[in-house]
Amino acid sequence: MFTQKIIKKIRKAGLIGRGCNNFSTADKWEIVRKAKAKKEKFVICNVSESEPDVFKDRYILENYPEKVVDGIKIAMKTIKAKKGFIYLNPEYYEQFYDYIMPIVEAEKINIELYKKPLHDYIGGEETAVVNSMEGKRVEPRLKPPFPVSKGFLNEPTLINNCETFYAVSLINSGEYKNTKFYCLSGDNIKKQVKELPIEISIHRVLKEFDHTPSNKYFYQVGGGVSGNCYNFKQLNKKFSGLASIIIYDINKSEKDVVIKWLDFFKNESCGQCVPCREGTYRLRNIMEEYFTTGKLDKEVFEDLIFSLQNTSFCQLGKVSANAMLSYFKNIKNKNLNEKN
Amino acid sequence: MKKIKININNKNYFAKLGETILDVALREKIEIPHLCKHPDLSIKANCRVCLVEVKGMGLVTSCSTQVEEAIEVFTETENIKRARKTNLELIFAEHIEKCDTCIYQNNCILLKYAKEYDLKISRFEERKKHYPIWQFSDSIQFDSSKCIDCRNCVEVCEKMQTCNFYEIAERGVETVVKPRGQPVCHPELLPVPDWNSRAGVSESSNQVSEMPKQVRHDTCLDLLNNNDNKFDCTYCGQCIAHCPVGAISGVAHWQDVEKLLENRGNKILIAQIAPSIRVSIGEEFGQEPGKIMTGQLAASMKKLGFDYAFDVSLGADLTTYEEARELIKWLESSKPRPMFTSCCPSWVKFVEFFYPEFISHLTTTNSPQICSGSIIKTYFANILKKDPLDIIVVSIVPCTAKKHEANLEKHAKVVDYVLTTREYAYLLHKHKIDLPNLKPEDLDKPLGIHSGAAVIYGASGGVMESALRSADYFLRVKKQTGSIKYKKGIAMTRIEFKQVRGTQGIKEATVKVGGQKLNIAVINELGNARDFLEKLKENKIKYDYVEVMACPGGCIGGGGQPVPTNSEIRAKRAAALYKIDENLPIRTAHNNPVVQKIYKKYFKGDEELIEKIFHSKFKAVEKAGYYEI
Repeated sequence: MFTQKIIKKIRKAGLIGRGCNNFSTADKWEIVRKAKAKKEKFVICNVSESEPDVFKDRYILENYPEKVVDGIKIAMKTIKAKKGFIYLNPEYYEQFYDYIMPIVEAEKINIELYKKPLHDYIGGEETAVVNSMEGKRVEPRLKPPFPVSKGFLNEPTLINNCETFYAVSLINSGEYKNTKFYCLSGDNIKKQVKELPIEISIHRVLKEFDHTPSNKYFYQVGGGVSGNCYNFKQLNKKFSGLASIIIYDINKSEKDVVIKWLDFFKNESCGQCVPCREGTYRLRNIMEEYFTTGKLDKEVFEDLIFSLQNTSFCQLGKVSANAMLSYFKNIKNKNLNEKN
Repeated sequence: MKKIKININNKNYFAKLGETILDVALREKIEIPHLCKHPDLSIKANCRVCLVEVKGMGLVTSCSTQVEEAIEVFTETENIKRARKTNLELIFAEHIEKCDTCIYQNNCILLKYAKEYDLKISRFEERKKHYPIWQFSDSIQFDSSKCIDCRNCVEVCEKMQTCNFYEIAERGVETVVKPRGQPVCHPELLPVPDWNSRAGVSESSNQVSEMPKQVRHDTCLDLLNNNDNKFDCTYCGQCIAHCPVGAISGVAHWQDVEKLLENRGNKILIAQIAPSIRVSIGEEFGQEPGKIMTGQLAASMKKLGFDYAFDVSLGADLTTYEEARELIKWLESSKPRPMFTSCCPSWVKFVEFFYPEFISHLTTTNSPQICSGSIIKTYFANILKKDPLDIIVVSIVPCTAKKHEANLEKHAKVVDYVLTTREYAYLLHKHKIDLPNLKPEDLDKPLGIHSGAAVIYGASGGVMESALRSADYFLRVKKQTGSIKYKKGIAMTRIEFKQVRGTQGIKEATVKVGGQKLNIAVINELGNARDFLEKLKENKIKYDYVEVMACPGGCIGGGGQPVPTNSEIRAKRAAALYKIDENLPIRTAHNNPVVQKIYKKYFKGDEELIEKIFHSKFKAVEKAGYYEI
């Protein structure tokens, strides 16, 4: 009874997972609920959060740890899992262990805190989460099978972002008001988090943060370092993706921003597939050369990006050129092809 | 299984649910290039070369995409060509072409793709120029500057052989597939090559380090458990057989052999071919797997300049003869059961390293190449009236572990050099000897004479069957005479033991030999051996005699055999060996006249001498690891 009711409530609230997969939470829960376990099912609360400009999960754990634990508890009850995990990046583990454990103990639920071995980006991908917890190399697995049917220890596993569990707790208690957490950061900007309505424009979010968009800045929106760049006139679109905005000084060195992005992906690539392992490295090098000499082999540039976007094993490789491409297009108004 | 219809390049094909697009394409002879996919291994989909376009899905890897009813697949669109070409070019930049010394030069899949897909092979600068070469004992070399990071070696070592000798260290472009842990001291060169101080290029540097940097233990998850010392290489060479680009190879002996052939001085050069290579070497010359080439091989050895062309099969007959006698003594003794075969050096190393508690179960009878090598340097040296030191024995075998075995101190260099099937084929190619077109010749007498029982040594179950044939005989001799020596006039009743044939990982049977019931098992692949030993440890199973071969299907799937390999190819090679056996007039070791002669004229019943020449002991060994060269 409880199970069907909560899934119905989640569906009614239209909750979409607050990681970055845009997957209906009700659907996911339903799949895991129906999946057959060999021995038992698991719930994992994903707090991998390992990007410099995304810190909403930290904010949630600082302010609402009991809601998160409550959400996990509801999930465990719903899918009939005996065991839950909170998968924390190493810093968060150290920081929040003493916050969370008393709540877990008071609630008398079987939740274990798992310390992710590295502060890495790919370790947040859900199959990499499972690999990591099984002591394997931290990198994505081939899908299918998805964790909902074969996850931790090959058992059906519900993996959601910590904000999703927070939202579920609110939905269950009738307090959910269609909000989510937005992070703001950038050049000379204090890192801030605000809980604001979903489905609002980027412009509105900035306003809520008391920032007035202008041509002095450009904005990287959604998904931290993989987000698209917009100029101040393009901010009326609805906010989508992971809720982060990074504000850059418009005069910031072209080379610095682009190489910073490309370095990030190069360094965070797990090294499993050819286009990402090799492509992120080559792309970074040819761009460095371009900024130094002004010369760019257009064909190589385009082929690398084509291969990254279309043939990478996982999302990391696929999105690795997004920031750079949107930056050239929206901010620099530059078609690299003409600058040969 | 349910059949569905799919469409590839506007043509309809039937497919089974659960198959991948690549499975169907390969079956229908539709060319899709692929590197990391191997039929013996799981799907990893990391090379991203087997791309196809599926309507509604865009580009996907065909190895990892299962067929669905009515999907429309295209294998040669502009998008595919572009991405495939780029990915292949990126792979090429990971693989330093050392074609002049590569024994795959006639059989290189990368060069084939380079031609077919019009690659610009130097579009990206080589990035592994100064990557090191690692050597494992005297058997295997891993040239990391040729590695394309497909991880087939890691998987085959971990899953098929459970030896876990490889690891994947680092991440991103610095990912390196390498032997586990730190290198050990080079046996000849001191001091230790210092892995830690190599090319200290900092992480923020623009260039990727030219050599792999210090393995960051704190970031290398595989090392967190620090299990390094629990795993070692057994030299089986399955990593070689499953490497798509020849980054791993047997330690080359062909240069030394070639030098000797050119300038032998007063040395007598003798080559001996292992049972299984006669049915596999043809593949290196475009022949079908299982093509029997014994006669051509005999001719080729002479053509290359060897003074004698002998056969390890004679050694196999000697091993069988001795091992059958040992089995009978064993069964009468209070020694722990089962008795394990020990002719596979990789299996021996596996026991010596991973399961020393089972060393006392190994038969002490030497392997065929050591038996025949010993006989060449004693019995045959006497015939030639030559100093054994002036006789050079070269084994041509399907195996890389035999290189290690031949170098073991206890075997006193009865075999001087060991060439793999691939290496010998390479030598023939190099000397423009077209094996299939040679006029077949006979192997030389006396040590080219062998039985059918010897030839089937090359297939999993062959050693068992050969030993059972002779054990059956000796048990009946014993009943009549009380001793286990060859005696004329005792009829042979049983030849074939078909229960032990086939490529299953573990075969079990109860067989009747000489009126006794024996519980036997035949195992191939070390992973299966590990399972078996674990059960044995728990006393869950009881056996009398067990054969173990490290490689899939036995020596016909050996680490020194031609690539590619797969279950179908291995089955064809094995079938050919059984065919040779069937057609030979002598099918048992004890009926081999040369074996009889050696025992009668040379050993003259001197059991001490037999023990000295045909038997040796085993000992627990510590991790040998690897070193840089």
